[in-house]
Amino acid sequence: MVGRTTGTRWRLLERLRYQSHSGRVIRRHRALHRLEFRRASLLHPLALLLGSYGVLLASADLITAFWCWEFTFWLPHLDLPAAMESQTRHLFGPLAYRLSVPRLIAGLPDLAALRISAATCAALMVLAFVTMRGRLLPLGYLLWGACLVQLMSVGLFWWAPQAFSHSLTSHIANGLEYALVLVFCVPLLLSFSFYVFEYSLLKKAVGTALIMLGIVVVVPYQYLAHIALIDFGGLLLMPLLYVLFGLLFDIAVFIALYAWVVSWEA
Amino acid sequence: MNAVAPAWLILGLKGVVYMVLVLMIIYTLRHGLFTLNRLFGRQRHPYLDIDTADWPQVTVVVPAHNEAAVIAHALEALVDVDYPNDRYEVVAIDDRSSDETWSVMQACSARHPALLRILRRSEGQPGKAAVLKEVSEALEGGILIVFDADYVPGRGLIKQIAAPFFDAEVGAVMGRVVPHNTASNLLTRLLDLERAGGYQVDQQARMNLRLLPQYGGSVGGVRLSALRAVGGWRVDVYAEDTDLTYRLMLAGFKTVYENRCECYEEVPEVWQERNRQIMRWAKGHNQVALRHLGRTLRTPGIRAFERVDAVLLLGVYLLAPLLLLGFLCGFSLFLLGEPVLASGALVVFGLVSFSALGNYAAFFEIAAALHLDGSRKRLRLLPLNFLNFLVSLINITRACFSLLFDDTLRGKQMRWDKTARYRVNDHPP
Repeated sequence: MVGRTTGTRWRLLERLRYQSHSGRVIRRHRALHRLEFRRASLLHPLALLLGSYGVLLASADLITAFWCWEFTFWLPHLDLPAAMESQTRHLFGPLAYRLSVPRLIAGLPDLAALRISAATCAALMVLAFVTMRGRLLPLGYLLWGACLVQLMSVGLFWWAPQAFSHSLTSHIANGLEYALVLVFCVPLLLSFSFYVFEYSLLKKAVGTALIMLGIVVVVPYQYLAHIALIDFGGLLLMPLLYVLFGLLFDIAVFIALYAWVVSWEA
Repeated sequence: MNAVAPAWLILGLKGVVYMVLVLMIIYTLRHGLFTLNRLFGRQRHPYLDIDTADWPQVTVVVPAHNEAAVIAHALEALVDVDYPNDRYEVVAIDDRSSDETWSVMQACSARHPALLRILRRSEGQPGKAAVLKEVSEALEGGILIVFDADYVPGRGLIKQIAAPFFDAEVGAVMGRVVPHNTASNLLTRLLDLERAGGYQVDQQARMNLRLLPQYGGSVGGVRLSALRAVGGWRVDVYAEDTDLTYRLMLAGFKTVYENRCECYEEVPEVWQERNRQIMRWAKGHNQVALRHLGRTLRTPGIRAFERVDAVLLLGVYLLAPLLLLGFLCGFSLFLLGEPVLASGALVVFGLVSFSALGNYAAFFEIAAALHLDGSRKRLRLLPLNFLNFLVSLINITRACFSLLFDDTLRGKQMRWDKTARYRVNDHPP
């Protein structure tokens, strides 16, 4: 009882130390500011991790079914009717899930396509070097990187096309699997980068759901764009899409949503 | 069996990808630890309450080369600080400027003849390190505080920097640098995010954990006796500040970080200038890594945790070329039809790669810094930091090659680049 009274008084005194004349909280200077480690600092991450993984484990097949529905709906609109191929895959070893991907075939590029691609890359690199300076410099670097990736692909298809063993179906299936793994990583990533901040449990749960939902919604459109572009440009475009608009793009989506969620008022 | 590539090549490519992945995970964990420590750990500000004391002799040195646009602000602020006048002196050195720097300095000196001494250099080796070497050799003792000409200190800053020197173990003190031209454009905003992560979280966490905070060469001081004990300023390195940090640590001195010592600086406003800056830092840091890695591993008296962190800090500018190499090997594996990594590992690789921004300001570290700074809205720019990441990745890699081929193999003479200033000189002459 004595201990409890002392504890209550201690908390009261602590509160008074940070109470201004008008009754508001005096905020410590940013150099000294830190977060208080409360029970919630540990319980929130634990509860949200358990809750998120419970929901994710129950809904992995629902997510892939949603992606399948998106593909079946949109592919005929793109004039690319394709049968869906169902595969059983394993996530992190034991967790089995069903993934449906469109069965599509893309051809190897011919010599003309390789020449046009190489010439376009060279022209774009010169253009980027000459014009993309000043504020546009990072975009110039990005264009250079994309062109170098494409030139490497041209080199491979020129000299050893038989080495390239990826098909459009396997490319889409792998991309969807990476996205699903990323969705599964979200709660773990947020456990030390978002749940530790002083948000209410509800805000943390909503933030987590929005980030996962954002990735789940973007992914089928991302790979529909891949299908349309590869159908137009052939397998020659696949490496570029794999590097720039594959997993890295999904991670950029995650970072963008994370940045938005973490910028909310606590 | 691959259709075109021999087994050893595939194995080699996979080996490189895994090596880079492991390295990236180690650095990400390190920065995760720093972030959690800064958010929840016991914050060490052991010298913050020293306000009344028998203050030591302090000499503030402001090296200047073509700084006419900014130096008046710095000098006026430096003579206005709260420090006993009989123990305080500001020495501004014009290092062969071709603009109005000297006349601006003369005007300031005429206004404050007792506190401000101005000197003009026209001979000897050019550059900040050479200026510091010359000045420190001419001084008798006390504390030497270095300011760049674009830095504007607050009134209490000199006392805050001088206070830790009452501890005889302290060899150098470093304060926090806060950009003041943040609102100029996208680049300055992105650099502001990077600086916030680096100082608010990284440096303070290293201070909390008794590791090695970096002495940054400006907004910081060094004890002259400690400086002399480790051989003075070196003029043959691009990063004389990092070099001094390591020499002090190896000689048993502590470097202290004071998060409350805030000073305001101009960050580059154009990408080309940023490229030059990050290349200079990368070159200098890697020079220091080459010189001090062996001794950092061998020297007795350094705690194991501190030693590990000091080695990781030395390697921070090698991550960019290694990451590019990892990307290249991974992409080659993809082209050869080989699985790059298992899907889980590939996602982890992507995530940790995105953390290796500039000199490793991970996205969660920036988020923590801005939460502590109380300016969360700025976080919405975080996805655009990818551009900063890309530019840093390429230019740090260029700097590594330049150090290897130009400086080491071809013995090219070192050349110091002047950081451009953007402020309009609106101060009375």
